[in-house]
Amino acid sequence: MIKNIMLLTKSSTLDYIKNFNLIDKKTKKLNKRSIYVWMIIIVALAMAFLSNYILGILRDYGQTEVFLDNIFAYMTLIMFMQVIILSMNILYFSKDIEYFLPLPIKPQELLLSKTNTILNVLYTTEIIFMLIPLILYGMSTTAGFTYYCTIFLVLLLLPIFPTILVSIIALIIMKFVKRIKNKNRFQTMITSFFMIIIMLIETFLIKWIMSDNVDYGQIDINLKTISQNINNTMVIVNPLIDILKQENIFGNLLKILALYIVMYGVLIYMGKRIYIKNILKTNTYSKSKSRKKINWESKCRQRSIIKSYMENDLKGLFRSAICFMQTVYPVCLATVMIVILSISFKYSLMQNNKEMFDLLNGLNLTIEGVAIILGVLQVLFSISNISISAISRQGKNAVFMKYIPISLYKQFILKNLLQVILNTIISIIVIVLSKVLFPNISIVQMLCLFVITTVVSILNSYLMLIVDIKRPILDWDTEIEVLKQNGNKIFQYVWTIIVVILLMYIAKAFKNINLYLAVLITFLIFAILLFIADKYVRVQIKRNKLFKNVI
Amino acid sequence: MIEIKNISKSYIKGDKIIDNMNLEIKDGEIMGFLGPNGAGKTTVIKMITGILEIDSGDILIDGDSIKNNPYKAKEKLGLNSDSPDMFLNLKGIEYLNFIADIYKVGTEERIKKIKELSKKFDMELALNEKIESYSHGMRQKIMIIGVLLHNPKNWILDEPITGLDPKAIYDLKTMMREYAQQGNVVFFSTHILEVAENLCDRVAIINKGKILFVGNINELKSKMKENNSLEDLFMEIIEND
Repeated sequence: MIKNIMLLTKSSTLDYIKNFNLIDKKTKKLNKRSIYVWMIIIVALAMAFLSNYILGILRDYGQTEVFLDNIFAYMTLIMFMQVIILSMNILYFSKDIEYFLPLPIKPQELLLSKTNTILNVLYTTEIIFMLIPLILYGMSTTAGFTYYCTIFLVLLLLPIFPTILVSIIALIIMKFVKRIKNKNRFQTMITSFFMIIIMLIETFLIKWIMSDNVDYGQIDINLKTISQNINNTMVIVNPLIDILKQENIFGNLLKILALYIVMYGVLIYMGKRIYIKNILKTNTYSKSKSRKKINWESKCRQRSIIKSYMENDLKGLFRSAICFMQTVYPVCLATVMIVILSISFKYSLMQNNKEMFDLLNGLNLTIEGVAIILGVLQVLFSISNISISAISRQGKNAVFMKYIPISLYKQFILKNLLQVILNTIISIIVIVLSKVLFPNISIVQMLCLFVITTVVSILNSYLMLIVDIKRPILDWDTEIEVLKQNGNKIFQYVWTIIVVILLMYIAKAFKNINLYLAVLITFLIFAILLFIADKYVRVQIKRNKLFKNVI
Repeated sequence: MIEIKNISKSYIKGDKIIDNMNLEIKDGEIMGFLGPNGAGKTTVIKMITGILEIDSGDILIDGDSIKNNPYKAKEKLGLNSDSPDMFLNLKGIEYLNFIADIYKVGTEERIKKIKELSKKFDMELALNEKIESYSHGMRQKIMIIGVLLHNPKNWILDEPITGLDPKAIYDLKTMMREYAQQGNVVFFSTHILEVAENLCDRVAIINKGKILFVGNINELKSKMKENNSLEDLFMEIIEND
């Protein structure tokens, strides 16, 4: 059994790692020519800088330990969301299941190999976002050798809990589903159901924390309370933190291992009995037929190329549940959460801390404020994956772009539109939210903000689309390969880091000049970058180089 | 008319996949493109349709260069690629409408064409279903209907017979013949030699990126040992290369 699981997991993992081209095949050393190596180094440096900055602030308050609580709390929440978005697709709806079904593989073997695929994705997230901060935490607290050894143990154990828990819940839900008429709609509904529960829990937690008698002037206490409350709700987080702190290592380890043995036992038992039966329910969809009559006049009306092209892209995005959940869903969710948290925060200030409330209401917009709003928006833009997967999502369809009589530049622009529209909606929400939080922001300032964010959004979309066109993943069996296991995503992280650093510099450099002049300079910087990107696209298309890999 | 003039292509420097190839496919002609696996058939089709860049030489589609005037050239082309697994999330009718919009086919004309072609291919009842739920053969058929919607002057098919049932093969062959008789070019690659023998006005045999023979079956037979089947002749040419 273990041999088969390892075999199935190995094939998907190797495929995943191969995409990054990290090791030079000839020298067997780190491939310095791989762009991913350099991207990973940049992300690592940025995480190091950020962690060091936060640790410095916490050290001043004498609250370094809060760092550990916070990083675990937020990473566990992120992991839960990732698993919720991925699990239904990987376990039940990925295309490769059809290839595995005829093979002599036991249900529990297939199930465990699938959960291992989810774990692979989570381990990547951990390596990118947790490894360096934990090492820096160790250095800042002058931790001993055991601490560094336990880091790997903790990182190995952390993602197992959300993965197995969500997989068991998914098995139970599918057990009670009779027949799936529309698998895409079903996935979206189930995921939304999971997400609503998570959001309700979070809102409840925030309310609970806010209604507590917390002194809002003490940032450290506030952060600690939030993270500790989150960690208390996740059974394994506190024991893992204790292991890192070297408090009762073996006791905590035994506790976690015992829990995992029970969880895996339940998963294997249930998988053996119901997993394949559940999968077969999902395959009934393709056999169902609805023979409705076609309304020729309305269905076949001629439309403009732009409208038709856009509609086709939109259908591709919304009719595939996993594409929708990986591209549109996370950013919508993050925006809704930001809105809920910000408004509930302001509301609780109004109730509990009039002084702080009045202080916020009296704040005027400065270039630092502009930089923060742009930074938040850039992070939100980076969560959405429409542009970075615009070509890869189409798989074999992508080549269609090259033999239809529409110029490649026009198609490039059209491929950007969906991302830009989504980004624009998010920009408007965030700018309006800024106005709600800080009423002193004027309409002219809001308009200025909107113009800059539009340029930043188009630039972001342009660059990510260029990356996807240059390095498309067209030969895939599961949508996860295109979106979650897409190495190109690292370009998005790097670009976001660059933009944030640039904004930090702008905020510092233009602090003492007129706000509108500073905003104009900021606008010009991004507009020039956009102009350069556009010029690059035109030249590359003219030289037949941009779409070279779309074949 | 399709004119292939001295084209070459290599993926690795110095290793030519297509080596200085020349070929002319005249209006009103059906030409079969034959060759073993890896001979370069799909590469040539991809270069004709603008999917792959041509390293040297040029391809003219009714006088328009696919290199220098690609959009005009592409308007006169219709391609059925070797994989019909495309646009799976769309319904058949949605796909056909999308294609009709791209090629600017008017409302009345497209309705007439879709009705006519879907009836011919027995696809009327499947139009309102997602392509995802179609069988391989049905997917082939919907792609063929899509290509013919805008009446391309040059119809190119990459392995079109694969996956079709005998009736659909018969219908497709009849359609290809009718299409060529209207003065259009039909250029297709195939492994099935009987189809080439029965259907083509001329065949081009390619191996290792070079054209080994261009002409009709009788010319081929007279060139090689007489009274052999096309299969024997094909094997003889490939082995002599």
